[in-house]
Amino acid sequence: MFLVKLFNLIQGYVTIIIEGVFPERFLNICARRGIYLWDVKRTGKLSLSANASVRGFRLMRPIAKKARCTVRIKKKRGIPFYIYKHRRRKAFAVGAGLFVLLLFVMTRFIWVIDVTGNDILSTETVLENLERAGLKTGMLSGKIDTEYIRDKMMISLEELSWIGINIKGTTAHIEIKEREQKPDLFPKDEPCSIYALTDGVIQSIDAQNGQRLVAAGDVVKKGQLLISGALDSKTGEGVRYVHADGEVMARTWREITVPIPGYAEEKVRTGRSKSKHMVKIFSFYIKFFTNDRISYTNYDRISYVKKLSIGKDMVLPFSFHYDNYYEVEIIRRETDRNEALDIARSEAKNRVKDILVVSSVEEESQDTLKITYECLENIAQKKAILKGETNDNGENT
Amino acid sequence: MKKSKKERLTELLDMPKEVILDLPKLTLYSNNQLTIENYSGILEYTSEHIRLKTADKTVAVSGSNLELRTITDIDVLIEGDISKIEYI
Repeated sequence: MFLVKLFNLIQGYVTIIIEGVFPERFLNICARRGIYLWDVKRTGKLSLSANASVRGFRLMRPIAKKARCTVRIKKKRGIPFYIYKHRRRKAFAVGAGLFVLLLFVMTRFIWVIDVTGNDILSTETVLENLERAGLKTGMLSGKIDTEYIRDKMMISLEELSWIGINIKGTTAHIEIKEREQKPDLFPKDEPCSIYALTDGVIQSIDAQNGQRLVAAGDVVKKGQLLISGALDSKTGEGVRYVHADGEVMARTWREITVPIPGYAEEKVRTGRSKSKHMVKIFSFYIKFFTNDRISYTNYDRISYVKKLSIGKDMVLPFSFHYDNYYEVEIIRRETDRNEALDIARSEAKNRVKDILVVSSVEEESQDTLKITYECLENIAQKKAILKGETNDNGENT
Repeated sequence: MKKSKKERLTELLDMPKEVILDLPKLTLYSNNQLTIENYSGILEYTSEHIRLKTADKTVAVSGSNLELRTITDIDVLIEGDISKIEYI
């Protein structure tokens, strides 16, 4: 219904008054000839009012004659009539035209570059490189050669494994896949041996290449040779050097000592706050505050940016920036023993978060907490073979 | 009432009657909106009474503030406070 009304408004329609002894006859003939009438109302004993399209109205004169009615226009409605009425108001027309033109022009530029998928690379670096490759905000979106930019980016940033550039409306969506970081590899074709990274007890040893020198259950010291890349040749003469490879899982112990804090820090808002609001047009900021300085020593800043856009992708270069500053007081609160221990424990746990912990033993004193973690980790470390080295510190298996 | 051949056929084939037999189809929402399809002409229209000619009978609608919301050559949409629908 709303769409029909909108369509009628765009097309323009007339409200007519039909007067006659038998106006029903007029309605019937109109219906039969396919002239659409709507909102027919009885206004008096001999008169009706109705709405009809402009085109329909033009066809009504002979019908009115036939039905012995008179038809006259009461009101003209819709955009065509509106434009006709205001045709002499030049400034108005120029304003309306300018608005449409501006909107049209504005939506032809790139205003937002949206980078997603970057983990190692910072968004700034990506944006910087994009600018060098020829993509920055304020560019005509039609002039962007995405293929060229893609190639340039792939060359300039070696962390990239894939980059997708999608231009939608005024937004450039940059999707990034980063290359898997290379592990610290020892060159594959050079001979090496595997040594222990830390002290520990061997849990399992899986030698893919080289000679195994320790067995599960053995206690090893840091730097001890675990898998040798120096092989005795089968004939018993000379030594063959290979690239030893394998995984040595071992139980290790890590001792971590953390202080037990006597107090906890907490932020409490004092209730005083300041707000700074700005309007950004292109890259200019219009400030709506006079005092630039924030006098609070400690504060929370909460920012909110509202971008003006048509739909989701048609972002226009206007945005509203709301910054609220809340003064906070940092209060040191005495903590009880349990709470303090919890804080210490989470601090200690944080330091071994990348390692698989099997069990832990705690030892607490007045102001420190010592935790010994028993961990399970790969202690294999590749190092070049010292020439002349033989397997004299292990028995051949 | 004896049914005509055509009527029996439509019943046998389960076809919509308003299409084959040119019978009027009235759709009434509560008492304020009535659509009449397959009418052949408006006989009377005032804000209290509307009479419509259909293939076999005349449909008379009474009420108050009756308006003809739309008129096309196949249907009429009546809006207003409808109190009575009669076949004459």
